[in-house]
Amino acid sequence: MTSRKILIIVFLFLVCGNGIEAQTKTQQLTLAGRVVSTSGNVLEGARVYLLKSKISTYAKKDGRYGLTSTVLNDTLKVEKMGYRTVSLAVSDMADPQEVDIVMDSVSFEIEGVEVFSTGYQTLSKERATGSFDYLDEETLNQQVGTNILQRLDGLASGVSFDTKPGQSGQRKLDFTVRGFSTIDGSPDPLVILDNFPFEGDINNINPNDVESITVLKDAAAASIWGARAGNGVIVINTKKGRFGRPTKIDVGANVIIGSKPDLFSLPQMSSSDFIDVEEMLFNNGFYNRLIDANPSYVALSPANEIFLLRRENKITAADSAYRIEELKQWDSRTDYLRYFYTNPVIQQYSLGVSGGGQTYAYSISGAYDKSIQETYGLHDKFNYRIHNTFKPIRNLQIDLGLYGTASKDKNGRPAYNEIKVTGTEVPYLRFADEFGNPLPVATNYTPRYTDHAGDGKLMDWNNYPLENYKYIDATNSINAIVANLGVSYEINDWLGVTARYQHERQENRTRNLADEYAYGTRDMINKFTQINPTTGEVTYSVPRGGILNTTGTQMKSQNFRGQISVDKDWRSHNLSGIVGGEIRHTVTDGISDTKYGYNDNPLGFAPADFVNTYPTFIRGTRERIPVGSVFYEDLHRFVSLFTNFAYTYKDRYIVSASARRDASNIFGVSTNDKWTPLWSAGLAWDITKEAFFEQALFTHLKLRTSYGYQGNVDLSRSANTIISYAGRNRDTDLEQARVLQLGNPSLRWEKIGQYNVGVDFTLKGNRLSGSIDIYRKRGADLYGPEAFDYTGWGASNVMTKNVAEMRGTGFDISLLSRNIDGVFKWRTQALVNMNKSKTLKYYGPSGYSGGMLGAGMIVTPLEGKPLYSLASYRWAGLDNSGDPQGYLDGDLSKDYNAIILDVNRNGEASNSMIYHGSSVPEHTGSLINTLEWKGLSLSFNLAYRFGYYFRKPTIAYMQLFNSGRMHTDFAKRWQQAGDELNTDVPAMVYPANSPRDQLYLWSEATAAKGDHIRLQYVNVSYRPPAFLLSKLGLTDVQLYSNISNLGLIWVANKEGLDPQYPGSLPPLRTYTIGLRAKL
Amino acid sequence: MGSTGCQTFLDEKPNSRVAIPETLNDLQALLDRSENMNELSPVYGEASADDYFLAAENFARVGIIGQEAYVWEQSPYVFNNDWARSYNTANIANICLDQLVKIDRTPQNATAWDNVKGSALFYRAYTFLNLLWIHAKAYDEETATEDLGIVLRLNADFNEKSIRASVAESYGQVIRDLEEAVDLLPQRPRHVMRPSKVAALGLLARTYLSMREYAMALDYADKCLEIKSDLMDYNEIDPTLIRPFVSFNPEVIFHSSVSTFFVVNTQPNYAYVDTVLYSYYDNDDLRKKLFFNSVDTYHTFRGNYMNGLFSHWMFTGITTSEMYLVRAECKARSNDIETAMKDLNVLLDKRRINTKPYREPTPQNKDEALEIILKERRKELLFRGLRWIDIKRLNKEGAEIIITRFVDGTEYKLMPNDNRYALPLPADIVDIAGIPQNPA
Repeated sequence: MTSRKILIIVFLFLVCGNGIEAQTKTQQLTLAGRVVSTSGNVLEGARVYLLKSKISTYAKKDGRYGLTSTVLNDTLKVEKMGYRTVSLAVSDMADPQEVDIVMDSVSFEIEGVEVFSTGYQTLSKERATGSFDYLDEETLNQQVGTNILQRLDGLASGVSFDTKPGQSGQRKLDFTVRGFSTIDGSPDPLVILDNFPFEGDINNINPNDVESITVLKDAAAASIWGARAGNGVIVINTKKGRFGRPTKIDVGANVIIGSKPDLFSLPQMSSSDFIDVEEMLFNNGFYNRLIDANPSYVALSPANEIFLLRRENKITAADSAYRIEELKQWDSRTDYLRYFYTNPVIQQYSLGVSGGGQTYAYSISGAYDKSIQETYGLHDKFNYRIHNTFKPIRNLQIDLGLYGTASKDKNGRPAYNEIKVTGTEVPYLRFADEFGNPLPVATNYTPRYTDHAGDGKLMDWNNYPLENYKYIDATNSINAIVANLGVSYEINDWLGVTARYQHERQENRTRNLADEYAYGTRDMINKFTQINPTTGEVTYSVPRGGILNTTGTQMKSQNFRGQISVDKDWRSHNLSGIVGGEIRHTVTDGISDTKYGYNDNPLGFAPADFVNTYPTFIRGTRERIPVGSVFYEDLHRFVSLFTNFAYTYKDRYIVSASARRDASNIFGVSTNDKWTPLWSAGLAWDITKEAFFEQALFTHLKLRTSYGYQGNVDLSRSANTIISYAGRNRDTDLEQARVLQLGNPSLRWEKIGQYNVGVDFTLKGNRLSGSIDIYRKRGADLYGPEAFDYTGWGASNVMTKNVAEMRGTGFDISLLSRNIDGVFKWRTQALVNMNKSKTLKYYGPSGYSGGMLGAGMIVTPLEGKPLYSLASYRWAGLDNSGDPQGYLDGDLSKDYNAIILDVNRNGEASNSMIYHGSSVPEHTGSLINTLEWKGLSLSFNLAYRFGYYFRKPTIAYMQLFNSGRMHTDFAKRWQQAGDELNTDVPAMVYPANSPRDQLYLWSEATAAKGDHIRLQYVNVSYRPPAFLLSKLGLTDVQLYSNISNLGLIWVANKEGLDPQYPGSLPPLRTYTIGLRAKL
Repeated sequence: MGSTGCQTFLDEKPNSRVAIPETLNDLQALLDRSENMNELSPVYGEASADDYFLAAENFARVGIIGQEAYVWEQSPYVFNNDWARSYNTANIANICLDQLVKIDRTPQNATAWDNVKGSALFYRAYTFLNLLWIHAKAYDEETATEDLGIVLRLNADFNEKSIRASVAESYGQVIRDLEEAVDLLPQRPRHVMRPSKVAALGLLARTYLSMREYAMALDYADKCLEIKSDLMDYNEIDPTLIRPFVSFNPEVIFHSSVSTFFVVNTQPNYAYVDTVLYSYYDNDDLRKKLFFNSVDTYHTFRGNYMNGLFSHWMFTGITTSEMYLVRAECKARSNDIETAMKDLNVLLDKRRINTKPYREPTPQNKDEALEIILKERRKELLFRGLRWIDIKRLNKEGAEIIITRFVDGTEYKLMPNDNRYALPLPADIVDIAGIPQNPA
């Protein structure tokens, strides 16, 4: 989290009165004076005290104070929240002494100061009652890469990353803040860029432009964001120019090189085993349906084509055996790696200039990223950013910002297993002959058909994977801009008004041009070609030429906010806060188009008829020519009123409260119901400020507690029956509509109540500091299905209502220990997080039938269980014929259907199943050690995830036969009596028996504990000594190198599988070298 | 804030293609969504009937629900199922009927208004009739007021409690809806996916036939054929095509189909045509080629009046050929053998090879005539969702049709008028709605 680097700038004015009349009459120290700020404002309520004599007072309304003490040599301390503490030695030199104090405000613009930004206001850490996590630039730079939010992994306390896909595609981000807070809603935290929600692609934000990130975790921190804060809030602050700074130039450059993926670590079956399975299927007539079809056009795998030649006596047995043996020696991965994969390389360059005078500050930067992906896909991105701040007149500040992104992606080559035969994976495909010449792969149609179809009048119908990608030009470009304007005016020293406006716009354009030589194009043309059987005349329903598909989507949002801020001090009181309102308007739209017969030069295309059906070449059935069909426009509007106030008494007792009401145009909700109030309250007590507190153990100790509500809104829910026009009917061409949602007037927004208790502390000597937060949240009114008599509707057996409830409990501990602090420095930072979720109330049709017994990837809301859980069929091993055995009513059983049915019907009550536990880690955290010596620094991050289960992938024969889904467990299968003692992998049977597969696939034998520790990254950096730099005219230079994704250090499962990526490739290890310099 | 300005700002629709169904256009668009209105025919009855059988390897593939349905077991029949799909269609019709009350019928909108109302009534009746055939006992005048029928949902309020009406009430509702629809709908439809007067007449004929009210069925079949009587000559259909018949062909009066199978048994990738049924086709019968594919020694059905992407969809709509057969049967029952056979021969003339001589059958009496006609009915209307109710109604008059299944060496028989002819209601509906289950 934090490397708390506090850069104190103290301005100190000491004005002595008549200092020469030195003799005192009494042995007393008498001090008086005024406390003012650097800008001359009177600081009422500042605490003035003498350290030894423990006499204290407060500055009065006019800023004056007075003190008398008998201790003659003492230290005068003046404290005021929001200002730097002033400390100076005083003695009885004069009597009485007039000592005026000028205090420097803890400006939130000072670098390195831990200032929480909520997107509405900035809060000093000392005045906060809520739970925030602050990551400064240096911390964020511990990780590399192009996605700023990815850098939170292992660095932000309470932020945990996972690979769950989320409910019905609502999820765009891959992490949660303090676990899941919703069951059916979107689990994405709200992302704020500076002041407003960021709706664009997170990759648009250049990490080099980010100054800090604040994570708002509890209600006191987040509820200011109201109905969208339920999943936590991430506030990204970009760099800005500062007043009174000389021009500074930042330069950065780095190269990230990734390893080539280790395809051979994937559980692909040996080609020999696979071909043996194919032979068995072939001999059982598995492919006869395809072979005997008239016409017989469907592609068979290369081995099956050989078996067919042999069966039809077209080749000799010896020839067949020889050819098969040749295929068995081949592994597709060789060609994939050789022709389609490379080492990914990312280059990032950035340049920034910033500075400021008395009335003007600026920051301008540009960045360029260029990368080549592991399958040769290209990515280019250009970022530019301008931020200007003016103070045209006293008390008035104007901010003008512009942030732009232009990026472009281009397609690469086929990825592993992208080339299939009739939808089936084949492990022994060849893409080139021994001389590197492209070989055709029969992916869709057999050469037995394509070789003579159309008697040469069709286009070449072969697919050459080695060539094909060259004829495809698929690009995706993003143009995005965020522009904002802020005007602030300070009416007096405690009251200000701010107005902000932001416009955000993102345009995505995909352009996919497959020219006439691309396989897809030739296939489409051939498919709709007609050849007159008598005249031989060829008609093309799909015109010759390329096929161009374009899609354009656009997002535009406008925000306006007006806000009044107060920061009033009187005596020992302070009241600060904001009250304001905002409106937000977001439009997204999209449209797509298809052009046939496309030619670049001369530019043109040919008209195609998308209305009528045309006979298809192979089977003669009539079909329409496909055409892009994206067309939509969505509009969301919000109106919000918000306030957040904190009252501080004697700088140590803090009470905060916030409230927010949101309304939106969510369809059908009547306006009265649109307003949902959400509130929070917090308390904090800075014990160190108490007179009784002995600063023996702690130099800082603060207790915090808060309670409040955050909301979660699903923009698609409604109270009225809603229909959606669904385009024209494909048969009747009539306009048609479907019922999108049945009216459900009682629907409300989800509400998450959260209780938080925390403590911040620093031990004497600053050896150990940190914070501990314990929370409990209760999601009530969560959207959830409720069973109902579906005779009354039919499209669903459940109705969504605010019926579900969940509970999340956990703690976030963040510790920083300075183990050695000399020339050699050793710091250890520990993040320890726990989060347990539990469904309290939910109706699910059959919680066990789907997710829980599957791979644990989908939400499994079953009362009393974690939101994501894993359960298995009880496993009794294989019998002596290699059949899997489960349990039914306590007895060994092979009645797979009955076992499945029993579990579906009885859930946990069934003794055919066993429940394991959560399928998301309940304990996460990391340990970051940093070693520094002179300019050299080494840090590494060990991250752990404990307390969860995952499903090991294995072999399922139905999937193997039908789609070639392979697993190396095949080799471990039961093959002869006695094998059951050594293996759990069932014998292969034909025909495949799906329930039999399922019992094993989802059994105890394939469930494993997911606990693991991984080495997240190792970072080495070097800063040359300052004298060397100053000779070169540089302020700071940092050379750094990083290795990421180093893999597992320890894992609980005995096979050593990576529980985060079972059966798939983990993120590639990357090596980075870079430079950052300040001029 | 909260003033009118704010309210206007918030009243904007979130999605340009989204609407609260208020206008006649909205309602018509709902009814024109064939996915909900035309393609959700139930298949449970057909799966329980005898036009097909499952070979051992296919029995293994149809899943628990298919397997249990095959031997008339009370399967774990829960959502999503034919009950849900049928009531989905019925409820969209009800949404339209509820909303229509709020729209004034004016001279300007009368045609559109009538079409919406007539169509909604037709769809509701169509759905209710299908459900009746599956879940109620065959109509019996004697017991119809006591026999359990279906839930008659007549508005779109999903909170309304479900009650099972009697068989008499249920058929009564179907007939009332259709009689009203006949007068509202256009004579012929703009597209056969849309209900029309001729379709409503056809459906009335179907309804009365299944109730064994043959005189009424005759009357409506007659009226229906008066409007539309086109038949396709099968001699002109290319048997080399994979799907020889096209959708919406000249014989189709109203198009409907099964597109999502709650029980998969009758899909051609599982179902082999009953061998006895197949043996009824002689070699001069064009249907023998056009209707079937051979798989080893067995046959699968390909004679659906549909083409397109999904070859397994099952056509369940109303056709002229069905109406000829209804009229022929009803005429024979009223002892009008000569005209009955005339209707039959008009049909068969289009089904047989036109170059080969055809000896028209010459039944000696009503029973012989009926036997011929009913056999032709089976041969013409297989895999149309009609066989289950035909067995039920014919067994009511002593046809003694016994369905026999062989699974794993075990023989299962369904005797005439067995309780199980009223197939079980979904278990979850019985639980939640508290309505009585059919006895096993």
